[in-house]
Amino acid sequence: MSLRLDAVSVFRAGRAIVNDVSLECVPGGITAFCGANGAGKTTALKVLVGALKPDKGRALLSNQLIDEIPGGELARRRAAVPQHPLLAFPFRVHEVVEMGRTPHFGRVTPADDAEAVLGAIQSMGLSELADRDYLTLSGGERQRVMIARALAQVWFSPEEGGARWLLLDEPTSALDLKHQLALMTLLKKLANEGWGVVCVLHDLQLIKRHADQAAMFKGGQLASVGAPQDELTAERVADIFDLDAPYDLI
Amino acid sequence: MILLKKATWAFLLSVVAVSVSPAAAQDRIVSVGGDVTEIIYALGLGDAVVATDSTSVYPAAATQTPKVGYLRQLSAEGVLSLEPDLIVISGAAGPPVVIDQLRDSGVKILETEAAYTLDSILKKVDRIADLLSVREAGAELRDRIEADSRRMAERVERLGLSPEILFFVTLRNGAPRAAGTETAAHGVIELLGGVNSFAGHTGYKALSLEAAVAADPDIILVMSHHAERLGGADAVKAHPAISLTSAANEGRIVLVDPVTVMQFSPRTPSAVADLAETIASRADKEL
Amino acid sequence: MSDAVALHQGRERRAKLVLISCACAAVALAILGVVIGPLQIAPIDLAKILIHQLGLTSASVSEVKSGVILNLRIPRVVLACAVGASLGVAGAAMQGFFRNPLADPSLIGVSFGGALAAVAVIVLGGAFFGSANALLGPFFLPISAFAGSLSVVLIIYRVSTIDGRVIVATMLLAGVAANALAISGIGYLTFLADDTQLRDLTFWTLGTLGGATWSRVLPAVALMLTAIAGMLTLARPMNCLLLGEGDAVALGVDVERVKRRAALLTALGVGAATAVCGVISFVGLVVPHLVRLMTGPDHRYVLPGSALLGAALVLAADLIARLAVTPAELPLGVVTAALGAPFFFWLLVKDKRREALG
Repeated sequence: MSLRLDAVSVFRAGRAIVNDVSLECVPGGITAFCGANGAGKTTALKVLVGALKPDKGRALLSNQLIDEIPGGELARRRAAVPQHPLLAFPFRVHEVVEMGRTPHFGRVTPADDAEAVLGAIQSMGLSELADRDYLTLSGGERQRVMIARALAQVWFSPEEGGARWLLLDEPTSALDLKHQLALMTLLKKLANEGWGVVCVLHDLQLIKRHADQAAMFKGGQLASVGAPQDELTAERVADIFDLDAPYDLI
Repeated sequence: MILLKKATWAFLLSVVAVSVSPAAAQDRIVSVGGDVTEIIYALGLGDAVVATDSTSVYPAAATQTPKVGYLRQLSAEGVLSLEPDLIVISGAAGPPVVIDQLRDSGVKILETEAAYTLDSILKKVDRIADLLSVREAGAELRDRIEADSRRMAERVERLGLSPEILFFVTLRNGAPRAAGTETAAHGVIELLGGVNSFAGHTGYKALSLEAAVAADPDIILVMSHHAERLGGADAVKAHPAISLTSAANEGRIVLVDPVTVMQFSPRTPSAVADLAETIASRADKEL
Repeated sequence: MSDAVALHQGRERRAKLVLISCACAAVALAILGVVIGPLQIAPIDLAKILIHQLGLTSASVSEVKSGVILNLRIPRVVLACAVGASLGVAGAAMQGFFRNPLADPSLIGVSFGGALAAVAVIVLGGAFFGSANALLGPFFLPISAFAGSLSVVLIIYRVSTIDGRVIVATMLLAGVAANALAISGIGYLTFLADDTQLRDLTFWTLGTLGGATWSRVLPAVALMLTAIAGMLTLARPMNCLLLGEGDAVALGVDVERVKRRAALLTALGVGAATAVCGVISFVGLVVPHLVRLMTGPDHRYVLPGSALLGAALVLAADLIARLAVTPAELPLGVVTAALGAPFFFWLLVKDKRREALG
């Protein structure tokens, strides 16, 4: 049932940007990737998504090699939201969310698709914006639309069985405080319903408050994994981020 | 006796002409190419011409007809829309696929060769006169061309031993194009008994300014309408490439009228004769 | 729930209406293209010609008139439809492929790449490509143009992407370079060409449908239809591709395969069109834009809409080309560029304004 990295390394220009990382994420909780810029968080997440093939080691979903799971099936079991959305065409918000239903094309009824799209839109508080042109939205609104798209993608339990996974790269980076909290609350609720959630987060406060597991990256390696309370001590934070003095989270 | 014979012939011919020309007069002819248009008018069949192309500028009547465009960019239906009974096409016409379309259209079509010799002019006259059943007028035209050709040969003889000739077809924007082989301009050089300095190339090709100087031809010919665009013969002489040649310094730059000289039409021998005359007078004066 | 469904259905209904209207326009213009021409042919004669062609009556109309209809106008209209549809869909696919609404086959050098290959085949002809020519017969020219177009697509994509993101300015500048290179290549071949071939070459840079004969039209149309049909099947994955390649992968799209297909099919459609009628610019830019304005950017509507509107636009432009200066004819490329270039300016100004606002 878990999503797992097994001794994974990724090389770029001869340098290991992810170095021998082993990590297990389980459904029912939020795993947060934490670390300085360039520590390998996003790359590790991409390996979990299946968008990047590790140069060494294995990435596994429920003990199945992610590379070997057909693209469509994988897409029905996990959804991902990248850091920088690239969409440059004037789709309406509901149409963008509807694209999340692509892997289900021909497999479910249009009514199911509509239900998933509507549910995702409501969950992200986008009902008012549903008919707006995506390109006219603010950065934060766009981020919420992309998350809603990912939600719509795995709105129902996958026909292949197993948990639903959400993999998010800095989902709160453009959100205001209210929407940050709303998102984390939603992710928590989904985790409690049995979803697996993995996200790269820069805001240590959010990790401390909402995550169930913190994976601390440093220089491409996984320095440690544990409960946020244990990982985010003043000394550990100073070590991970190369600070000169211990840093206390309030 | 001789008179009588002549009269008989004239009578017989006129009977033939009368019996044939009505048929010819009913024809609707689309004539494509300045040379064939000129021949058709010279044969007295101008009334049958319903359209010509943009290169048909002589005689004046031909300019009054509807125009089917530039002879190398014809439109098949455009030509056919004039409902011709006969299409006469110069060898230079195109594009090839449109010529194919016209061939397949079911309309009678006469294609002349794209050749640049005196014989080719006579052959065009013969073929058109034959097809349009105006042999008498054809013979007359032929006689005239042959007479002009003899006059031309005399004039050309005066030029003496084969001069080297460079023929510029354009001089615009400092990028002159000279005539290589397989061009009307090359044909003109041959009629003048000259040697083409640019014979190593086929078609009209850009010639570097230095190469023009290095070739140092005895005579430089320039198309008159391009010369006019530059500002006349003096401007041509002052052109950086040309001013350095001995031909320029010694005044042997001669302008050539593209229509009379270069279309290889009935007027060509006479025009070339005049051209030879001009060249000869320049040479006499300077040498 | 009913809200979203209603929204969805509203736009879908509108998009379908747009497709039907475009189809009607294309059919009407195609009929017009057969009926109207420099040569006046009465409708009754036209009917007689067509009925005779079906083998129902004996001929009663002049050979010339029936020749004009059957061997000049109908192949020309067929070619106009195929070329317009092909360029329209290729433009839409290219904009999706580059994730940018300014991509256009003629703007970024794909058309001229095809033209260069076609010119090379004509000029160098037997000497270089003898055996391939013998093998491929009438398909040789369009397939060569396809190869030329494909090379340009691949080069431009290589040059203008960083980590799967297209840098628009680089793409357009690379297009300028590709066009310049192809035109210089055509210029060089023109230098090599003899006079007869030269007459063929003028035709490449300013496209025309005047060379439509059945023997040239049919192989090219077959290739264009293949390309169009192939591109229409890419609608859904191309929608996902617009989100970015990472997102498309996450949505289960085999991005590499979709990109490969889009590049191949675009090059095939543009190359085959260029091989029969030269470079016809701006159709691939204008048509998908107009369709998107009417249906929204969903490729399920943009692709078929671009095919239909592209056919309609080229048919209309060709009518203008044929009738404006009868009995002579304008090059079609002149008409489409005259319509398209101002539109391109408008797009740039509109984008600039949006950037200023955003």
